[in-house]
Amino acid sequence: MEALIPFSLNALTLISILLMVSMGMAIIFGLMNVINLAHGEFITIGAFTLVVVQGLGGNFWLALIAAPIVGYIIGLALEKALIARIYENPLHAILVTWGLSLILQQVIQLIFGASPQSITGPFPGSIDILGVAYPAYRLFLIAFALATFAATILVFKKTKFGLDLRASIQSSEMASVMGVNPDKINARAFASGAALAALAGVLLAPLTAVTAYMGINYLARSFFVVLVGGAGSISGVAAGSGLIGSLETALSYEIPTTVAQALVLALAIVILRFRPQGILPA
Amino acid sequence: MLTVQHLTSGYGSAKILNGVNLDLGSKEVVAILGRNGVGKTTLLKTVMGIVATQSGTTELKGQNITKLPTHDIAKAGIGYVPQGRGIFDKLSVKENLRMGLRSRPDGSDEIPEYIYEKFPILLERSGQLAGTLSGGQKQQLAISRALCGDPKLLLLDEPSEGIQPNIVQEIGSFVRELVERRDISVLIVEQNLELIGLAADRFEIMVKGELVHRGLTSELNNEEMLKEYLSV
Repeated sequence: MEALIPFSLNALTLISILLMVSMGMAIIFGLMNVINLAHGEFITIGAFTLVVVQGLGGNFWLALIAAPIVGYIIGLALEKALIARIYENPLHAILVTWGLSLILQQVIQLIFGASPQSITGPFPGSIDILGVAYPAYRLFLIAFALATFAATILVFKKTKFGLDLRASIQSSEMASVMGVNPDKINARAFASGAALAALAGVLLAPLTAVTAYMGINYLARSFFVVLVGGAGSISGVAAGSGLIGSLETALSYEIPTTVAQALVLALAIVILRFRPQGILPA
Repeated sequence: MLTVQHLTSGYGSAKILNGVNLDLGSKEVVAILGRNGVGKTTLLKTVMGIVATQSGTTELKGQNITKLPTHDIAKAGIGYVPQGRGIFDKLSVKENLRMGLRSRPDGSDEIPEYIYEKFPILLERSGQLAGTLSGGQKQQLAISRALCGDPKLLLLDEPSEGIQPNIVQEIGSFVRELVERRDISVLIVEQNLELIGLAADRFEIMVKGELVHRGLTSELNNEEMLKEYLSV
């Protein structure tokens, strides 16, 4: 019983991280069918926003507000300059976003150097949960991810932008027949996805080594979360994160983490073989 | 209302429309008839900007809309109900109607009262996913959604397809009612002569991407003409 609490909390931490890094990708992939291979770099951009903000004397909370704004602006600029030109051809999209990913990594490394950055998280201590001490920051991360997830669902279900987005995901042509400008929706959706990734980057930073390459770790996993969960569906992201996060945590107790990750991805492929539309498709 | 001149369009190098000329007056209902594959649907899609115009012009109330993107054509005042209806299956009935409001010139957020009066089922099923409606209900939803944008011109592509005869009649008389009460013109692609008889003032027959014959709806009992242009 005692062992179950840290296990569940560890699983929840990983699920929350996957939720945060995958929501943006789900929106972009679901709407535009673009596999954004630069998604990981928006996570990195978020983490480096924290580095810069703390370097300038600001705190973690300021970075938590600044990162999604920085992510949104960079995402919007890149969508207008590059991504908007390649929607027609998914293969071009893969090549262009991959190239973009390499360029962003190198630019970040040129500016900040190769060694891991030092940042400070907001909660250093632990909290006692049913007799088990657990890092306070991880508990915060779980709560924050759930809140962000709930807010994203609210935006999807209750706002004009959310309705336009859901309609466009189902049929971009019919949405434009209704009077929705597809270019605008695509740009805002891509930028929102980038903003969510940057927010995830700030949250991740205190738990990992902040380097120019940190985003790569999350690219493949968030892609599998989206595919297993069902493209273009926010509830699918929850299902995908839940499945992949809990499996990976469970397996990591018995076998090395890297092997566990590989096994989970192999399982994801098996699931997609039998349910190609994902668990909860849009 | 709508003036189409020498319109040509197609997919890639394949030309489907070969110079269509069409004049649709205000409060007029015109039906386009023709065999399968002659370009009737392509004509509606070209007017709507979904298929790109290669040459020729389209004007709506004197405004040249030939080069406008689809969403601006919708805002200029054209409501389009495609073949297969184009319902957003995973949105609720009400959300489908709200999408229809996007092209309203007055920016209103209210679904017009008369739509629920005409089709009370859409209010009853308001929160239900549109994909769960029957074929006839989906057609009612699709037409209502187009009307939510308060269009001056309605394009209907085979509204009778796959629905029961009594609903075909209901839609036919509703189209008439719209024209009389709401000052709307309608361009309708249709195979069902009963619906055309109920709704349309006149018809045009399309052959190989051109409108080759026109007449009043009352002439539709001319067997020989029907045989020449429509029989397989």
